[in-house]
Amino acid sequence: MSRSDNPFLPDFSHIYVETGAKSYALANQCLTRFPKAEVVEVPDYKSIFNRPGQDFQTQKKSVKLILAVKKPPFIYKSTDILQDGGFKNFYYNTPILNCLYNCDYCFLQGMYPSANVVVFVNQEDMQSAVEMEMDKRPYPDDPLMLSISYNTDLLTFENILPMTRTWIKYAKTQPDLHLEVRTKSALFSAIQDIEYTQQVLLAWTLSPDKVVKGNEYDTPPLDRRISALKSAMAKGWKVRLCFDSVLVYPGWKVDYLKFLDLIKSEIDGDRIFDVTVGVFRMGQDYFQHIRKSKPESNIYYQPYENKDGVVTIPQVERKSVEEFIRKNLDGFISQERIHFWI
Amino acid sequence: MNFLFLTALKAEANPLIESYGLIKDPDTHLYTGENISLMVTGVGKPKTESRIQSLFSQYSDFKDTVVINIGIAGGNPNETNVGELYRVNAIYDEDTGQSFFPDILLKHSLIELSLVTVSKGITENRDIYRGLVDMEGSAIFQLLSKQVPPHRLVFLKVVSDHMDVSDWKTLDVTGLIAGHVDTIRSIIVGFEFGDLSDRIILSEEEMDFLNLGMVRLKLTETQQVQLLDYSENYKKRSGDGLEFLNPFFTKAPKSKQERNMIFEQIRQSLSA
Repeated sequence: MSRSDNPFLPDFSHIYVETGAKSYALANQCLTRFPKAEVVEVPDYKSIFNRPGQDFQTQKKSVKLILAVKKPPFIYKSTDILQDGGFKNFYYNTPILNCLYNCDYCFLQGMYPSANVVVFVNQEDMQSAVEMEMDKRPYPDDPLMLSISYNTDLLTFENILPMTRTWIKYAKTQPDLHLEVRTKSALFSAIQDIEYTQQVLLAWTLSPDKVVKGNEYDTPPLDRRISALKSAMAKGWKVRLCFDSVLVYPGWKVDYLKFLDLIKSEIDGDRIFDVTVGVFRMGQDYFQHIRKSKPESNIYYQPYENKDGVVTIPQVERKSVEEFIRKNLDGFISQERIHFWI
Repeated sequence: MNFLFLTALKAEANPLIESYGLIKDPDTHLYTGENISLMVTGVGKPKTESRIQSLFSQYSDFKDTVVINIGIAGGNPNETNVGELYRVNAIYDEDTGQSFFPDILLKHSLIELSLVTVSKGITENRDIYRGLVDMEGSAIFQLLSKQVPPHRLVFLKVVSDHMDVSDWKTLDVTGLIAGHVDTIRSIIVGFEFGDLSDRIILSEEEMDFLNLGMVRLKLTETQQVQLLDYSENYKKRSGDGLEFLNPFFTKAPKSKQERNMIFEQIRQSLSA
């Protein structure tokens, strides 16, 4: 379909600005970036983001931007579903809600009532909260590891709003703070001029081409992600590989074997910080919420088991994934640097 | 895709009735055509609310309906031109302070403005009102958004005046709307092209079939939910119909044990 045939408005055709957000520099930066957008003032971002009856997948066809002031809490402790990668003081925050990508297996479509993207313009408040949390972290000898890209893909926005850059710069002023920037983006180029720091872990989620094309809509192809992470490694950045979610379907082992062979041929395992592996899993409330919206994806219509409120594939399949990945990463990276959510 | 027009006045409805050849149903007072319906709500929130409540018993096909409120509105003199058609992107209720936002996902050619819904006609302090002013918009959004997602709620307003009219009867309401019928038609075509109907997995016939089976087998509430889930899973995975379940639904079980046994057989069949 050519651009002129597409009946939908482009993403960010509308920007909804919370009244209290108007005076923030980040809000003005957004509005300047999209001069043709219809700007609509809203009393509270929840009056548009939390409207009943929204259709997440239909909204994905024309995503709108919402600018808002985040209210506390500004920082959250890790959940059981989020992999801590071995970090003891593991937290996440939400500079942005929602993502420009549309992965079938993503929990965001069950977590949020809207596909629209919320940018919180008061990043400084989040940074103050980080400093307070660092002072009382449970393991004071270990750094506070903060995932800044948990409910979004922050690096995707870097050409729109340089928020990853802002957080990296901030981390450099806080020796006890480490950041994880998880992404499927190929946009390392947008931050490549920044001097690397051991405090920041750039974590690329990688999947076989078949999964990228079939389940990770709007994301860059595998080869561009590999190229981006190799550029980051060449510049000295710490890089984590995330195989998450490993999808189990008829013939999955053939696709993942080819995929892992490509990874091993392209990437020097000794220079990878670690690897995290996870299977499809989702809180049961999010899962049911997504099912009710009748998504096109077949992922939500498979037999799963409920493991303490988490919907996931049967144990025998989880075990099979772990054995398969361990076996096929043998010799590429030491086993203790592979973390599983199985 | 179906379309339901709501207008406050018959004079606003006339150009649409004529253009689409709509015919009045004497029982429901709805004007209907092939895939277009129209209802005149009356002026003001109370009348509108009352008519929409009655609509819910007359019109049930909301899952693929686009609701279009079209009518005349007052306009801020600095932001609007009399006679021009505008698309509403925000609705503020002056009485309650509530705000409502239709999703605008499809391309269109109109200028967008916000709308304030008031209870009484504006005769003074007209400059404090930004954009557009009407007397029904918030009530329509509030009630219809319970049936229709916000991307299928459309508000179109033709500015009839700059809130400076002393005698409303002098307005050519029909003429104001008639001048924009072609634009309204093009918006409808856009919705046909965009296809924004609710997604369904089980057809109405399949739902009726399963409901009959549930009654005949006297399934528990949990089993009913599970049967729908298993059926959706089966259809999504296989793409096949559910007719093969018919033998399970032909005979009423004599005991709970027999019912549970049949249900387990159904579960296994749908899992295969």
